[in-house]
Amino acid sequence: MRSTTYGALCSALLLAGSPCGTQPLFAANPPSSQEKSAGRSDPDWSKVTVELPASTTLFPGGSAQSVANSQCLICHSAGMVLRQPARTQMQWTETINKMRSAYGAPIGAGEVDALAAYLSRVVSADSGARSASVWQKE
Amino acid sequence: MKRSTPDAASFSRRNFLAGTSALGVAGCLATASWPVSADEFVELPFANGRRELASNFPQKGPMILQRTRPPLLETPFEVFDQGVFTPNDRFYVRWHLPNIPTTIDPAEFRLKVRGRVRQPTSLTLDELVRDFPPFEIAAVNQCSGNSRGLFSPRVPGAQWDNGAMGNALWRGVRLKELLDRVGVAPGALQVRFKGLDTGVLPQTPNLMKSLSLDHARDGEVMIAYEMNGKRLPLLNGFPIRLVVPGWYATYWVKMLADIEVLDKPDDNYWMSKAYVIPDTPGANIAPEQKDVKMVPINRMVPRSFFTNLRVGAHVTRAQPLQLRGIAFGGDTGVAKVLVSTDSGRNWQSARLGTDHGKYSFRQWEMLVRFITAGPQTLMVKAINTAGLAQPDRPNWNGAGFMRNVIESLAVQVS
Repeated sequence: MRSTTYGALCSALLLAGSPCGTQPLFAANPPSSQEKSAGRSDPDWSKVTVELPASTTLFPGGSAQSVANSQCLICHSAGMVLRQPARTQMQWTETINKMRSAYGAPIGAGEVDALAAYLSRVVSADSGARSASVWQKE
Repeated sequence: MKRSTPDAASFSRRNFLAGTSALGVAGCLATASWPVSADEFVELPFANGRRELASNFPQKGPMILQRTRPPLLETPFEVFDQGVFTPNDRFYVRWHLPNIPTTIDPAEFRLKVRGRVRQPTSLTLDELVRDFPPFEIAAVNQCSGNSRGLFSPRVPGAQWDNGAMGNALWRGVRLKELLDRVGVAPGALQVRFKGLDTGVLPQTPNLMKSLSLDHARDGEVMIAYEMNGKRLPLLNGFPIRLVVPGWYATYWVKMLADIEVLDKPDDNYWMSKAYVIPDTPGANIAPEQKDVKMVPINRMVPRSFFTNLRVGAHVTRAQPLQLRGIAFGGDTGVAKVLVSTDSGRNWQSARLGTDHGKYSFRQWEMLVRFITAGPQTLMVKAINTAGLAQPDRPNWNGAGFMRNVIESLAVQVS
């Protein structure tokens, strides 16, 4: 290969035994199956109990804030909504209607327009960051 | 722990140290500028891309927080530079439904096999482990929407960067053995899988995914009870999950509790409405295109990444630079990884690392020396053993699925 901007390299330098080429540069791999099979016992089937963190993020102020906080949060936390790209009211209407029809979100037909307009305002280029740093403390 | 294998933490640490010491001796790594600041935020490379690094999820190290409930956690990309297998405590997490059991008692757990079978069965985990020969396979698990945040125009959904994927050594039981044991009855067509997670609202459809009977019996689809030599983290599907090598993760049902053999095509919501793609090469359509035939998402396509450099990295002409990364072939192995240091005009084959099987990540590396100062664009592309190469241009579809464009990396040479 010929390049006017870079000397390329690699294979040539590796063969030439450059400092880089003399070392195994791939990060180590896990033990092979053979190693793992030796002395293998049954899986650990002790009981597992975990605690999943709760979200403290609320939708920020606005006309449809209470609908968002009471209905959307039934199934999912607010963060992912606030981390969406900026979208038009029509695009948010599609999403809200999908939540209603596919997942059974109890959002009234009369609430859709105001909620979509609200989301098109509050979801913006920094709403994801603000959801973490500001609104959850409000 | 009676196990002879190291735990995930020491495994990860050892890999990391091995990587660093080699680099230390070689002295050829330019500074990788990881966008992690002291207040534990990550800037993903798209608008509204600021994310917290969360360390408060059970059995998980620091993860990029995409959603708290139900959890969506992305693997920070530097993890992929630390070894070919993704440590369990850094493996990405993706749940759809909010009611996730937080206590699993393996002694009580049962896996049901029912439907068009001769002997409906309910198996304990001990039976699963002891009554069937163990099977191991290395395989990449990748979210259908991995890299969705990079779509242009943007599309709604989890706004992932490239970290909604991971590679593990899965150990468990071939599904074929299980189906042979219960005996598939005449008329069987598909096999449907359901986990323990449910919605809050009764109208929310349970997450169920189906495979054709032939696929389910291909001898590779398996039920895993271990990943990387350890039991699964709860958030990755403890105690068992389906593994569908070469296929997108939507089929890899977590907390697998119910297998139903069907005598007709499954048209449940998660097969017919969600996770469908345009029936076009690369699931690629124009944003304005309408009335496209849609089909369930299926096989993965090849991808490759740089892992030791990030966009905007400063590199020097003083020393040769080692480029390295990972690649995978999708539904078959990696034939070649090609790297360009001149924006795609010329390409050179990278040296490939150990082959862990055709569904695994494959590490690659290449040594380059820069001659001219200024901004430069590095590119990497994988070609799989079926001859499928990553495309020059990004695909687009409304769900943000199957991104696999050639990766480009702008660096600054001084």
